[in-house]
Amino acid sequence: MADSPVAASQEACEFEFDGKAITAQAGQTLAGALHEAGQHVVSRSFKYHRPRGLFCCTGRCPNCLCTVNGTPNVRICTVPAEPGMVVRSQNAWPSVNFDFLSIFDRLHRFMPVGFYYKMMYKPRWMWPIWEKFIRRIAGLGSVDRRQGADGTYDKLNLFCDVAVVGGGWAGMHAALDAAQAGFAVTLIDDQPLLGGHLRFDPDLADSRLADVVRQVQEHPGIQVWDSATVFGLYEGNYLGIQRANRMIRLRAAEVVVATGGWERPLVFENNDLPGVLLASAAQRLLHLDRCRFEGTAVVVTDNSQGYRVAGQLARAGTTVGAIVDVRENSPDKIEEIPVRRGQTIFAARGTKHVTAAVIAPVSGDAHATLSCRWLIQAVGFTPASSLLHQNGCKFKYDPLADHAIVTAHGRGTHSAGAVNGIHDRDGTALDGRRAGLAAVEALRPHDAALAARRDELKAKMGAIPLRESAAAHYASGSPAKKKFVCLCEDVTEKDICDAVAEGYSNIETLKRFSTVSMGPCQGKMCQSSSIALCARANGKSIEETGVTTSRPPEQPLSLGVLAGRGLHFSLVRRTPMHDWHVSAGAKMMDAGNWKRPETYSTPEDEYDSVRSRVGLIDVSTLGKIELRGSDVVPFLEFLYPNRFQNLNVGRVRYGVICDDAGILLDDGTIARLEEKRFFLTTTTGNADAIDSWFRSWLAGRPQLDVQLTNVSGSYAAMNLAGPNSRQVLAKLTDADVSSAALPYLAAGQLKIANVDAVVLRVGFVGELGYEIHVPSQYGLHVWEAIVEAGKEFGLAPFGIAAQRLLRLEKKHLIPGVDTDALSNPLEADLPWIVKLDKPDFVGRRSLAQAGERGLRNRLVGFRIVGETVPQPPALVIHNGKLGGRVTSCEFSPAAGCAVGLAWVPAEQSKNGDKIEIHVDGRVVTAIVQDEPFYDPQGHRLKS
Amino acid sequence: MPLSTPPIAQGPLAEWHHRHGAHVELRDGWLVATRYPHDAGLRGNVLADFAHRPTFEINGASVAETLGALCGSDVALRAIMSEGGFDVYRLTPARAIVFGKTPAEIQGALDVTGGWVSLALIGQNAESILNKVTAVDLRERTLPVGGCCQGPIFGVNTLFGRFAERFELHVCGDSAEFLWEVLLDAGAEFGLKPAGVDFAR
Repeated sequence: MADSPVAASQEACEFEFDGKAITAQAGQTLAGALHEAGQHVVSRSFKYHRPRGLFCCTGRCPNCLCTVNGTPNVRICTVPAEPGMVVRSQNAWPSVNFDFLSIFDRLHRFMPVGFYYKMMYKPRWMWPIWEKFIRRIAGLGSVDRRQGADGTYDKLNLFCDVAVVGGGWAGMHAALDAAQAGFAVTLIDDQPLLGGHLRFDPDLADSRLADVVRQVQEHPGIQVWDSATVFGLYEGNYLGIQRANRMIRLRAAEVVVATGGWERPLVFENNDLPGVLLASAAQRLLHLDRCRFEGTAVVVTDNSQGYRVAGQLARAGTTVGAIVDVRENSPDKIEEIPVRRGQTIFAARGTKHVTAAVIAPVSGDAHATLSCRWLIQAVGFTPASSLLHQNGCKFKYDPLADHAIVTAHGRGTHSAGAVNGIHDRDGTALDGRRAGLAAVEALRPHDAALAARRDELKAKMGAIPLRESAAAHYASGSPAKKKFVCLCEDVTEKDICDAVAEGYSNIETLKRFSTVSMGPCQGKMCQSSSIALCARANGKSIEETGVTTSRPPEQPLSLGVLAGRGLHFSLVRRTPMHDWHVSAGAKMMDAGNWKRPETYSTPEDEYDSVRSRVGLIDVSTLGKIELRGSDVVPFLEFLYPNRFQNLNVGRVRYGVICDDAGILLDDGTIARLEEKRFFLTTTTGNADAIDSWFRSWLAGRPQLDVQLTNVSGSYAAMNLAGPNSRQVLAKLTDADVSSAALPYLAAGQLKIANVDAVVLRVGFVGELGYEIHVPSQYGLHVWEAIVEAGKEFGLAPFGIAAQRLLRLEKKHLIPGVDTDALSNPLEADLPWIVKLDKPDFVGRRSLAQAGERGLRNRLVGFRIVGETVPQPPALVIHNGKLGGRVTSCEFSPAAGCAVGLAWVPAEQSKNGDKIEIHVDGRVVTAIVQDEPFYDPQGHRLKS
Repeated sequence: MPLSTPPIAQGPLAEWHHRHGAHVELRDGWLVATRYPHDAGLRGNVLADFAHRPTFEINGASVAETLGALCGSDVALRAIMSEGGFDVYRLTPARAIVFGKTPAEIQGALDVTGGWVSLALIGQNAESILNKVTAVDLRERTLPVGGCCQGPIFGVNTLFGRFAERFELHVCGDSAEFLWEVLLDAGAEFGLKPAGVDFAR
C-alpha cells in the first residue's frame, strides 16, 4: 500500500478558523472539529451569500469550501486537522457569520436566472463598470500566487491489469477476485481508509469489514492508492488520478468502476440552511469524527437508510423528533421514534441554523411544524456513474430504482455495487466479485473454471433482492422561491421552471442557461433533481428528458496537477559547442527545441566579418543522414526531383524533397563520399520528419540495398565562411584545400585538427565556405581549433541573425519560412531542380500537372529603394487586392536597400516588375529582381 | 595547435560534471567523470554518464548475419545480448545497436559514438523514478531483464535497456543534459545522486 498523503493528527490539536482557535480531537477532520465547536456556518453561497453549513461531508458539495493554509477551495470535510492550520472562510465580507453581501438574498427578485444576459449589456458603456463589479464579487476564493509558485506538483505513469475505482465493499471484493486470479490490481479510493460507507454505518458493518480490508491490504497483487481521486476515464482505459499534488496516469487492461452513489438531496424551502444534512454526512460526523448532534433531529427518508440513521442518532444521545417517511407503507413507530407516513419536508425554518421543520403530505400543503435543530435527509442515491459515462457506457432509466442503470459497458470496463443501483450489503459483495471475475475473464478468455465461478455467482445474486424500489420524490409542493436545486450556483426550483418557460427546455440548454450542475460539485448534488424538475416542467418523463454530458474532470483539480513540474515543460536540445557559445557571451535563441546563438556581438559586425574576413557558425542542428548500399542512387532518384545518377564521388549537390502533391517539404545537400556511401543534410526543423519520410519509403522497398542511419546527433557541424576561410582551414589540415583540389561543390574527407571530418564546399551565405562535419565528441575540439587558427585572419563567430541576412542577399530560401504547405519547387523559384524527364519520383505527376497548368504564384526576390524594411508577413497588393506576402526582408548592406523574398502573382513576377507592399498602413513599391542581391555571378562562392 | 595534437573527446555532459565537482579523467581519449566527491557515501539510487562507450549502429537486411558473426548467434527482437564488454540491442529486424568495445571491427557497422549518450540509472527505485517521467510500460513483465524498448521521455526519444540492477538509457547527445536534469529532478524524492563511472560500473 502506498504511503497515504493524508496524515491525520494522532492527538488533539489546535487550528485557526477565521482567527478563532478551534480544538480538534485526534483524527478529526477540520469540518468535524468546527461542528463540534459549534461553528455551523462555514461558508457563504455563491450568488446570494446565504449562510451555508456542512451538508454532504464526502467532499462533493460546495458548502465547506474554505481556504486552507493559503490554498483556496479546499473541502474541509476531507482534510484532517493538523496543528497550526490556518483556515479561512470564503465568499464573505467582513465575516462568514455576518456578510454584507447577503443583501443579495433580499434582492433575489432582481437577480433571476440569466439576469446578467439580459441586464448588463445596455447601455454598452456600462459594461466595463459592471464587469469590474462582477469580477470583484464573483468567483470562489482567491489564488495565493506565492503559495502557487512554491507548490511542487508531479506526475506518475503506472500500468496494471485491473484497475478498481472505489475501495468500498464492492470494489474490495472485485479487487480480491481479480488479484486471486493472479493479475496485478490497482485499487484507487478517494478516502484515507478502505471500506466505503461501511466505515460509518455500524448497522451494516461487522467483523467481515476489517477482515476484507486486511486481505486487500496484505495481498501482494493489489496496490492500493488511498486518498486518490479518479477524475477521468479516457479511451483505452486510461485513468487520470489526483493524489495530493501528484497526477497519476494509470493505464489498465480492465477497469472496474465501483464508485458507489451520491446521496440525493430533497428540494424544499430553505433546504440549504445550516443544520440540513445528508444522512451519510450525519453518519460520518457521528462515527468518523465522533461528533454529537445536540438537540432534536428530524429524519426524512424513503428507504431503510433513514431508519438506520435515526437509530444511530438516538443511540448517540440525539432526540429524534420524527422520521418523516415519504412512503405510505412504513410502521408507525421505530425504537420509540414516531414515524410520519406519506409525508415529506415542506420547509425548514431558521436564519443561520435550522430551528424547525415544516412537514406536509407528499403532494400537499404545510401540515405541521416540528421544532428541531437538525434535519437529516435520506432520500436515496444517484449512481456515481460519471466515469462510466466518460467511457462510453450506455444507460437506461429504470423507473423502479428511479435512476439510470448501465445497459452496455465500454470496452474493458465493468461496474459493481451501488453504481449499478445495488445497495444491499451481500448483493454488493457478490456484484463486486462478479465484476472482478468479468475483468479476469476478459484477460483470460475461454477458462472453464472462471465460467463456472461466474455461473455460481449469478445463481447467488439471483437469490437475493438486489435493489430497493424508490419513491421518486424530489421536491416538496411548497410554492416558496428559496428551494435550492443547485447549491453551487444558487439555482432554485423557480429558476429551473422560469428557464424552461423561456424556452430552455432541453436539459443541455437548461444547464448552460441556468448554470445548474456547472459548479464545483459538477452535478453530484443536483443532477437528479434538475432532470426531474426539467421533466416535470416540460410534462415529460425523466427518461425522455435524458442526462447532461459527463466530462472530465469528475472532481475539480488544481491546474498545477495538470501542469506538473515547470522543468519538464519542453525539451531543450544543445549542440556540442553550446557551453562555448554561452561563455563567449552569445545571445541564445530558441529554434524549435534547440538553443542556438542568435548573435555574439551585433548582426552587422558579424555580417561584416563574413563578407570581408572570415566567420564561423555552429550548424550542428542540421539533420544528417548516412545512406549506404548499392541501391542508394535509385533510392535518391526516386525521393528527389533532381538527378543523382551523375553525381560523382567527392561531389555534393543541392536537393529538395517534395511530397506526393509536389509540395516542397525540405531542402539540403547530398554528398557522395564513396561509390556506395552518401551523406545527406536536411534543415534543422525537418530533421526528424525527413528521417521518418525516408524510412517510410524504404520500408515499402525491402528489395533495395540501402542502409539508412540517422547521424544527426553523431556529427557536430560548423560552417567556416568568408574570403579568408581557405587560409584558416589550411592551417588545420595537411590536405590540399586549394580551389583546384577542393572546388565549389566538392565533398572531401579530411583530417581537420587531427579529427576525421566530412568537408562540403557549399555556400549558403554566399562566400567561399566549408561546411565541416566531425564526430560530435570532437565538435568542441575542432571548433576551438578553428577559432584559434582564425585569429590572425580576423575570424569571428556569427549567429543566426547574421546568417539570415547573408543568405537572403543570395536569395537562398528557407523551407518553412519562405515556403508553406502550398509551395512547390516550380513556383518557389527552383524550376531547374525538377527533372520531369526522369521516369518517376515522389511528386512527379503533380509537378508535371502544375507545370502544364502554368504558375499561379512565384517566390521572387525584391528590392525597395528607400529605408522601409517590411516585416513578414507584410501583404503584397495586386490590383487593389491581396496578391501575396513577404516571407523574408532585411536591410542589405551589399545592395544598400531593403531586399527580400515574397510570393507574388505569376503575372507580376518578371524581373523589373513593380509590386506593392502594404507597410504600416501605407503602400511601398518594390522591384522584382531575378538575380541574387550579392555576387550574382557567384565568383566569391566559387573562388 | 600542432596538427599532431591528439584530439580530446567529450560527451555533452562534460561541462555539467565539471560544474558539479566531479573528478574528470582522460580515459582512452575521453574526458570521463570517474567519481563525485559524494560517491563514497552513496547507498541509494545513482545516475552515471557513460557517453564515452563506443557505439555502433548496424542497419539493413544483413543485421542477423552481422550479429551472428559478432555474438555467435542472432539476437532476439527487443532483447539485449551482453557479451564480454559490450551489449547488443536488437531494435528491429533491420536495426541493432552495439554499446561497448567489441573484440574486432563490426563489418558494416557505423560508428555513432558521439551521437548517443548512455546513462545508467541504478538503484531499487530506478523504475519508480522512470515512471515519473515516461509513459512507457517498464514493468518487469513487459520489459524483463535483458530486454530493450524505445519510447519518449518528455519528447526525448529514449532507448531503454533493463539489466539486473539498473536501467540503461540511451539518448541522442543533444538532449542528454536536458534528460540528465529531468532524471535528477524526478529522482530527488528517492535521493537520486549523480555518480562517477567508477562507482556505477
